[in-house]
Amino acid sequence: MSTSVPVPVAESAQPTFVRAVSGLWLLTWRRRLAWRQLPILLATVLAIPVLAGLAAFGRTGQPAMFFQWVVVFFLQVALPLYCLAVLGDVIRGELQANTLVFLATRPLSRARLFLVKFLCELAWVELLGVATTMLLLAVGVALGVSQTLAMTPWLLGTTALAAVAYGALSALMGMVHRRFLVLGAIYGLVVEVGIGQIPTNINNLSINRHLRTLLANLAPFQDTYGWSPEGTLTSVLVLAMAPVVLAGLAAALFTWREYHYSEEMHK
Amino acid sequence: MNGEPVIQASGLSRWYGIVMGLNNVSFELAPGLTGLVGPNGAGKSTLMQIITGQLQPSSGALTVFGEAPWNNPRLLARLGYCPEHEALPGDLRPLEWLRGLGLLSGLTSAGALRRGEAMLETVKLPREAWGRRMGQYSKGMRQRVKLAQALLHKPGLLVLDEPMNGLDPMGRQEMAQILRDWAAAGTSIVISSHILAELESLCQDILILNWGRIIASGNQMEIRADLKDWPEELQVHCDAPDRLARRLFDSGLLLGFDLQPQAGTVTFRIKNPPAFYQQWLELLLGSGVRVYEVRGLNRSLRQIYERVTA
Repeated sequence: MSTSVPVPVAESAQPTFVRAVSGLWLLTWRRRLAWRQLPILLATVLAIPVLAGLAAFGRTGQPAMFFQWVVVFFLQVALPLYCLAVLGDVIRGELQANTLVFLATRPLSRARLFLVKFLCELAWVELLGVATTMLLLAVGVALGVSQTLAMTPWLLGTTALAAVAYGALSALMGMVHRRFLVLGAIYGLVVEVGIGQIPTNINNLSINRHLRTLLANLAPFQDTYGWSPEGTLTSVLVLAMAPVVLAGLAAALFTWREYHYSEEMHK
Repeated sequence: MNGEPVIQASGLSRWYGIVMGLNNVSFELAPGLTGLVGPNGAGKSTLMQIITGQLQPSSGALTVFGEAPWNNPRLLARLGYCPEHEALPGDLRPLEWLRGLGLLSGLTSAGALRRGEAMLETVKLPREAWGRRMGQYSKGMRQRVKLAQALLHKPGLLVLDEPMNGLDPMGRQEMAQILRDWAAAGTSIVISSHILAELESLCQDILILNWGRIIASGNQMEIRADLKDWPEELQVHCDAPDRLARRLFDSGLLLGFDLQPQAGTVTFRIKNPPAFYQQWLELLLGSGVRVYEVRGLNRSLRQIYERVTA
């Protein structure tokens, strides 16, 4: 008996960063778009816009204020929670499914593997975040909210930055502890609800505080909530740079610790 | 040892908290097919995971092709690993998965697809199953896909943890032939299995582990020769095998015996060969049975394994 395919001689190869990203992206979107996942996917993208539309339908009160409330809820609550669920699981999910071994034995350094995986999952979250924002904006147009179209580029940019910042923080939490959802809840209560509301510079630690600064550049939000756009550049820089530090720390943790299936499941 | 060692370990230990996975083991593995034998908890999987860079040694050192495996992509490019568990991404089809892993292994997109197809053919996964999601696969089919992903990037060293699990006898033969072909083409293979007879026919070298220690290692024939005081097996064809068995067992010289009354044979496992053979003729004559044939049996890998892990 012999195999029908000639046996090759051993050779070695290391992927370029782009090739590694394309490989993992292929695995990511194929899994996310599997039939079994579609109901979850649709619910994630449609839930907030549909609920917003249904709740506002036929209201004669203040659709603009309602719409703005929904946007703030999406950016400051729903999106962070989705980031936590997806990006906190960036390595833990593979670990608990016992499939990390197939990735960890590929010719990538552990830091690079983490970053590639993080970028692919982040890209997925960004796609969903942008899709949800677009649907929300469509609801705003349907509700007759003024300036909705004019707000589109700024809102999309804010959504993208929010996803990056919350995504990197979630990824770090996922690497720190397997109960990253608990860590996220503690962080939300202490930093976002607590420290972020203190009217001193310490509130710079809060991601939502920076998001509020960005949203304050849109007149409807400034008028409704009285937020100030002062320090917009600083907020953009913080939201862009903090993820680099957070993702770097998470990659360092993945390089340092083993993240082994048996330990994960027997803790 | 033929050629430079592929794997070298020196004073290698690995703890999981207070539990010891490997206990100060030192060995060298030559190129070729090496079998890793040992009961559950012996340290086989721990050793394989250190070899493939998933775990770090607690103390001591292990090198593969002269390099430490942990966080070493240059070395990982030369390794292929097939884990024992059956977990695969159930929502993916095999070619999608292999294509993604191929890209992660440095292949081009077209190359990864081509190699994925070739490897699925190599492991003889039926073509009609290629379009199904892996969550619907049987255990045997999963084993084949796992082997395909390990072979995908033409590794110089294949590390296979119980790759025969879940395969039917024909599948085991096919898998053994694939491994022989790859070994003949220059790939070194480390394989663990509980199906000891298969390792015996497949591997020229074996490493026997128990409680995190190496009990025996090297060429099978050398190990057999080294262990001169092991119990022999003796098969006797006679007219009253049960009477002979009782007589010899009462003498206290046997570890045990297996009666085959219909064949008229009894197989003795001897406790102390020198003492046994000193009294053998006397006992045989005293039993009064008519003997047609006496045959010494070679030790199998299973016997070696059972003896050293007892």
